Amino acid sequence: VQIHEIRLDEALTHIALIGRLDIAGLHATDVKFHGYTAARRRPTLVDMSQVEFIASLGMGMLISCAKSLQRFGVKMVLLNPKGLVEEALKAVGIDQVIPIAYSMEDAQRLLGLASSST
Amino acid sequence: MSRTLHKSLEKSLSALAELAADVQAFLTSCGVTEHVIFKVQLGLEETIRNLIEHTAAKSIQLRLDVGNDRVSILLDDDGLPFDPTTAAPFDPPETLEARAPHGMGLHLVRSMIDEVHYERLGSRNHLRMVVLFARASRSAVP
Repeated sequence: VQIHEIRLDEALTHIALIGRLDIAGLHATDVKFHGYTAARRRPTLVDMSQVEFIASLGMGMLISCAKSLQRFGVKMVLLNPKGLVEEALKAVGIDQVIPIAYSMEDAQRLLGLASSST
Repeated sequence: MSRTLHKSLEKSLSALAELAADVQAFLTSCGVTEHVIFKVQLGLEETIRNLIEHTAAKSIQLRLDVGNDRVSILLDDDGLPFDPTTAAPFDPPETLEARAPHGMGLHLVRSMIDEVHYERLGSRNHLRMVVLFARASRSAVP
């Protein structure tokens, strides 16, 4: 899986995950994803639209980093998961603890950001 | 007409990663849709990872059968009894703070896989999972 930087500044971390969040994809990504998200301690938007597959290990990575961010008073939002990726996330209630947005406007609102900040 | 893939798996997570590529290639060659392949891969990753991490299995055999309306996944191993169909109901905490980053795999299997059957035969676990698909969504088996 690849991590694509969209915006990294004081107000926001906006990245996209691309590929498969399976055991093979996570091996090289877990630490890097933590560095982009939990370590930066900024409101975090994770574009999921190009994630082709996700298993429970990948969901665990999302939960771990979202929990770390929460300890610093900031949120993580998932943007536009597709098809079975979205179905799998909802099957285990990820959407109940990490909000899912389907537009940038929704994402900004969920992150508590003004719409002009992205 | 059906097609079958047999694999003997090493007890390692790296072997599981290699298996995913082999299964993808096999099912694609059978004309199975990406939708079905996703579910098969999910079932395999979650159940085999549990076998590797929680049982003392030394031998894991996989058989995939692609039929006209389904993919059947048969896992046979010599580990400790492991019945994913009787795992405790999934009841996650409602807050992120209380949520654990693990313990979701078997619930995913039971939610996303159409049929899950388990038998303990002698000293071996036999797990059969079925992913159904509409015939129209899949090209004919070559």
